[in-house]
Amino acid sequence: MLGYSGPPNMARRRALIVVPCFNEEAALPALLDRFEESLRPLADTHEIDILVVDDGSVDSTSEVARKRGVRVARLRRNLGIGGAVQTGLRLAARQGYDCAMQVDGDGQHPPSEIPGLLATLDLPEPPDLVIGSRFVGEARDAEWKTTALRRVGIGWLSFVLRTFVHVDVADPTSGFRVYGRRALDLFDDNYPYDFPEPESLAIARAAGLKILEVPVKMQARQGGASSIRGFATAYYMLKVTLAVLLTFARSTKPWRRPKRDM
Amino acid sequence: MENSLERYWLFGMICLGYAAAVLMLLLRRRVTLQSSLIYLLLLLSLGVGSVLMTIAPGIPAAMGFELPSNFFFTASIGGLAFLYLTALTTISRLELRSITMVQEVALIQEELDRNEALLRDIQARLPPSREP
Repeated sequence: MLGYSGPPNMARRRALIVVPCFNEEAALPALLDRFEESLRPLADTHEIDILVVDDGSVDSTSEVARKRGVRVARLRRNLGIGGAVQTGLRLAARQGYDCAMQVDGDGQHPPSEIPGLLATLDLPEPPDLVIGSRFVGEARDAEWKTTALRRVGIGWLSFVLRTFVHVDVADPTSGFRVYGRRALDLFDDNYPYDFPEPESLAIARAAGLKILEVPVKMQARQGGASSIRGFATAYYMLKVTLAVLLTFARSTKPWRRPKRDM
Repeated sequence: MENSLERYWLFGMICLGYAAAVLMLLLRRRVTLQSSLIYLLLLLSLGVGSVLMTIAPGIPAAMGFELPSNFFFTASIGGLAFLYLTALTTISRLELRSITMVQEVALIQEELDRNEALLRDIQARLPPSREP
């Protein structure tokens, strides 16, 4: 199995890298190769497993991942990015991992940034949720960020989050994240399944989690296409804005907490 | 009274016909009583109500409706809006449950795969068993 255990050491942090994939048979092998290279320096301090969550792919994503020796959770139906990520977070929460990391399977998130993101958990006051951001620090000078239209949308969502739930994050749509133990417990129970990233920040803040944003350099996707195009863009903006406002309303009123479903 | 009967019997028959269809579906177990009870009650009350108008035409007037047809229209729209709300909550609950189930199946399958691999590994390490 592809994992990075290194020498036995009780203090090593157990981390699960969750890779949500939908029809990524072409991009996945290269990504897994880069994991091997990038995670080697962490072997002394971390015990890292990789979980590919196959979100109902119709190609051979699962087979490709299994052949590479990583853990594979195959969803029988396409649930979307939220359902796929929550599957990984659930596994991490239940199997006692100290943290989980989300790295998209389309190659946008370079594994070389993983050690830096995980290192934030060693800060004197470790955050519960770490966002790899394209728009802070030295990442602002990166060659590739995203299209101008998307940056406008991201700016709007950032404004909504800052105004209503006091989450000051420049890149709320980034899926390059580290989830600490408290975040795992929270999202095991409650994680949005439709365009989840900005809403999950609001949920995390409402639950009192500490959020930290750190600069990362991302790349253009290596394969596939974004699901947020055309009409879906307007739906995305409306849905996410309303979802954040609902989370704000829930956090300020004594609404009954929703019961855990199943 | 006869005029009212002439005017509303068709509406009443349609409602009762629908109620009969729901009953047939219930008998064949195509729908559950839990999910169709409110719909059934709405159809029956509208069907019976249209007959009742022939006996007591003053009821809609007492409720502020100039015409019984306005009363039926309002009651139908109100009932259907309520039904939609109950259907919405049911669909949302089922949607969340189906997502959870797909996730749980994937996690159980992953665990099974790992255990199978572990078993194969252990079996491969065992010395070959001696024939009795």
